[in-house]
Amino acid sequence: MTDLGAACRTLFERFLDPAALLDTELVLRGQNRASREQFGEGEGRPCYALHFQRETPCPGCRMSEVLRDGAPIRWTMETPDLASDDRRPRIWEITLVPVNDEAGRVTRFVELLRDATLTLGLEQYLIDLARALDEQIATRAQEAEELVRRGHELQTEINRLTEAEADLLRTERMVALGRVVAGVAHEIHTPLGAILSTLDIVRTRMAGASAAEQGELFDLIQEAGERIRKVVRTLRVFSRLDAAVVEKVDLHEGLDSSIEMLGFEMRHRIQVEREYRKLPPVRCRSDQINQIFLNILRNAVQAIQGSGTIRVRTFTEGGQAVVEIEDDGPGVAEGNLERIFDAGFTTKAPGEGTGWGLSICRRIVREHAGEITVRNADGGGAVFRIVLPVEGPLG
Amino acid sequence: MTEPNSPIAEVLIVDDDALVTRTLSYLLASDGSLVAELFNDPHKALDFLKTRRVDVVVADFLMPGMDGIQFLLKVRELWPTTSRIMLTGYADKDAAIRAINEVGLYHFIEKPWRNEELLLLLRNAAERSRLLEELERRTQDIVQFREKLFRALL
Repeated sequence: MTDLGAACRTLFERFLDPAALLDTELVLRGQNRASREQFGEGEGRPCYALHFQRETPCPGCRMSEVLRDGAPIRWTMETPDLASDDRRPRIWEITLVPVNDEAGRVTRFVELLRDATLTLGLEQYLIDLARALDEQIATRAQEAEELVRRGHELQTEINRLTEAEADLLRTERMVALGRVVAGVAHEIHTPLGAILSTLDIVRTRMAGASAAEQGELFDLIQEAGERIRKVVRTLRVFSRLDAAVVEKVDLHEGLDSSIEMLGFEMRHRIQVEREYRKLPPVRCRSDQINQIFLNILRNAVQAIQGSGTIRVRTFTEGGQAVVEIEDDGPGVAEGNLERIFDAGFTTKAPGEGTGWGLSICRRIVREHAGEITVRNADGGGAVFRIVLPVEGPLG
Repeated sequence: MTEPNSPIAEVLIVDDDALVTRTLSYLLASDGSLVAELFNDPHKALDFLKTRRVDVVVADFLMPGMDGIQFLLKVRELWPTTSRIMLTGYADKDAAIRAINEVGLYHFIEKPWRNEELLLLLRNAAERSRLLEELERRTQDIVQFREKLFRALL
């Protein structure tokens, strides 16, 4: 068995990396095969001269520390690659191991050189990569925070819009009611004028009137009174405008009342043809559904220039109630068929419409689990189709 | 109410609602100073007016075929000195007031009307109409007199 000293010598000589034995002046006192192969014969030359072609010790050399502490140190040093043309930097790992004499003083060093360009480069790459990842994670975290904050902002905005929409819904309904009231006022004022005028005649001037004349005057009052009663009866349906309850409703009643309410605007100009089939009572909010009928019918009235006809059809289809309202106006421009239910979309002149009516109609119908669509009739007019499930929104 | 010597004035009323014309026929008949010509169709009323002049024309605003403004404009072309009055319901009041400014109406009456106010308005309108007619006649006289004078001086 070989002793340790011999093993050390073999290790030194056959070590895969360049190794050198230096004195305390950094002058080579021995080198191994790898060192000779890589740097040539170097005995008697300083290590910095042999390895790095320097005339002075390398900056960052830690020999004096090793000498002082008597303990090995390993460090790295970056130099230009003197062997390659492009002088790419190379990183050397230098290990300096002190060798003591019998008295314990450091008299020699063993210097091991290892080209660590690849490993350290990889390490640096990994460090850089890790740092970049850290930064990315931090950025993502920041972005995530920003998204959460934006989400809160959007939620607030959505809440605000929901409230505004509810306001708008109320406003539209009040505007519709206001128009109805204006029309109804006219419908009542005419017979009321007749009643008041005739009563006045009866009271102040009837002394000389014949029996036939008296009868005619009372007939007038009677007839005018009946007419007012009819107007008030149709108003009854709309007096439920703010009753927010889901109930079983006869859609025909709502359609008839809506048509009646528009009588003033349609008179002499527009004929209404009703084609009603048998409809089961539909579970819905009658105030909202009547608002839709009134809205669609009013659009039809506005679409017809001069005289024309509005056809109102009802029927059931696949267990659902269908209402179709068709006018013989100019119809909807092809490009607008898709946009007509968009909020704020209008082709009416300022003051004639807000552009919100149909978008509110679609919202209401969808809340009833139904659908409202529009198409152009063969004759050219617009056909609005409202489909409502008989059992209503709550199943 | 009626001044004993006031001449009978002719009032043409057109309203598509028979309830209104029937009521007004009784009202005007009870007055004594006004004679009513009643129509429910503005075209028929115009045919009548083409043959003769009346003192006052009252028209409903909203009528089939022809609205009150169109109708009263045609009356002005036929008889410029006839007083024109518009009858309006609540919903079309703004349009009626605009029309008064645009086409020069004498007045408008809102439904429901008060009989006394309506009769007073009709009598005043008739008076105005007669005065305008008188003015027209006198103006013609002056023109003719001036022409005679002119010829005499030559």
